[in-house]
Amino acid sequence: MASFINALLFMLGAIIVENIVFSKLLGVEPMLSLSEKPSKMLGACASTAIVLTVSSVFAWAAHRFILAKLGIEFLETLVFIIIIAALAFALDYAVKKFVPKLADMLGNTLPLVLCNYAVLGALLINAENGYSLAKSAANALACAIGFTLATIIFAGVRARISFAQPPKYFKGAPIAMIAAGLIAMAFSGFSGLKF
Amino acid sequence: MPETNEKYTKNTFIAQITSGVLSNNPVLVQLLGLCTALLVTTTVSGALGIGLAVTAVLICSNVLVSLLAKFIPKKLQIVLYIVIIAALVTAVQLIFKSFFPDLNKSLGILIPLIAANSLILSRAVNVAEKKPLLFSLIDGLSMGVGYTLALLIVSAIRELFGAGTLCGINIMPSSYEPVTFLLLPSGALILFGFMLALTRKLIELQQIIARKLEEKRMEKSAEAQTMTDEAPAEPAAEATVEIEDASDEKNQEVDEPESTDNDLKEEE
Repeated sequence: MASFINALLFMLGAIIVENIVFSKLLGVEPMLSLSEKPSKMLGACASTAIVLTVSSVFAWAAHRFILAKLGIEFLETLVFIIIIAALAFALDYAVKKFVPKLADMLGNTLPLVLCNYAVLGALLINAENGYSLAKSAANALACAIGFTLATIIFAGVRARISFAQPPKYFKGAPIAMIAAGLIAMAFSGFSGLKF
Repeated sequence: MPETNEKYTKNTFIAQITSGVLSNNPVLVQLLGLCTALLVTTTVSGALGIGLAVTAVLICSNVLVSLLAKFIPKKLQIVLYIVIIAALVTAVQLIFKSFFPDLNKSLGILIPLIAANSLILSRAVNVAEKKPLLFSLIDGLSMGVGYTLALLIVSAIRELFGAGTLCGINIMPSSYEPVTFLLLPSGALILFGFMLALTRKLIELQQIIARKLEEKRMEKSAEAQTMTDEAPAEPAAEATVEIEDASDEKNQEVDEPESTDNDLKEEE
């Protein structure tokens, strides 16, 4: 029971206190582009979450049993990218093959997953801190949830902004960035929480 | 015939390089590679290191992709491109580790993260794959220079006002109280929002100036034409001199952006 609560608190900390987007600034770009199209948002977030969680397991295994054993940890980046790319490609292929309707609705999510700093960043953070298998998977899942949470919050803010009339040069991306900065400021209020 | 062709391409290459700096700037206009830009701009030295690393990887990946594009099956394109990029980033990482160990330590996971930089992948997919080798190479150079310049300007603002230093050297008087907000994630996002708006304004200014110069040149050439009817030799020389003057003016105007940048930030 205690370990379960510990795991829950660890994940809560990773989701809210150290939110991958608003306090680590990883994954700001996909968040900005996804928040413009709410219909594709949840699908893309779900595929990011699946790729991130599964790849964290593979990355842990690769790091533990191949890289560390052979003493070639400097190939970490390459191996992680290959794992992420293979999984993202497999997921993309599977969705296109088995649920073509969903694939049409989502469009091309492959670059969004590949160029997401949250995915590679989470794997690198796991490797850097030397997390165990369970902790790696939990951290990856928490990062994915944190990314989804941030995207949903930001899409809400962006919908509000679309009704406002910002100055001419601030229309679109600049005002969205400033709004993201204000949300990040709100999130930094959580930093006092210690579990 | 081949001579004119070469000249044409030379001019377009120059235009291409200058467009990467302002009107087509990767971070401030196209919003590519934004994450690295937000994370790394807390110090000037880090920004310079990452900017140069991105430029190197970008040029190499553009060259490799434009050479290999024919042999890569369409379905696997993006996946294989990102593997190529990751291999290049690993090489850059090793260079950092052996030659700049301090910078490597302070940047941490930011160097491996270049592999997921959307700027490099988008240039590979949109440019390197379709265009010839030389064009891709110049494109990589132009985007890299634009990226590095943008990072340097933003990091100079953040480090100077956020910590009172530049490249780790104290600049501000000791009575200056640093605005640590600029070094926080929220400060980075808000500052970038302002920088994006500023860039739009500058691009608009540049376009207005270019249009005015064009009009002036047209007038001059019309004048020169009417005058050549009377005296053929002298006015032609005059006209060329005036055109040179005009281009000088333009250069001055293009240099201006950075100074206005700092003015605006100081007002803030």
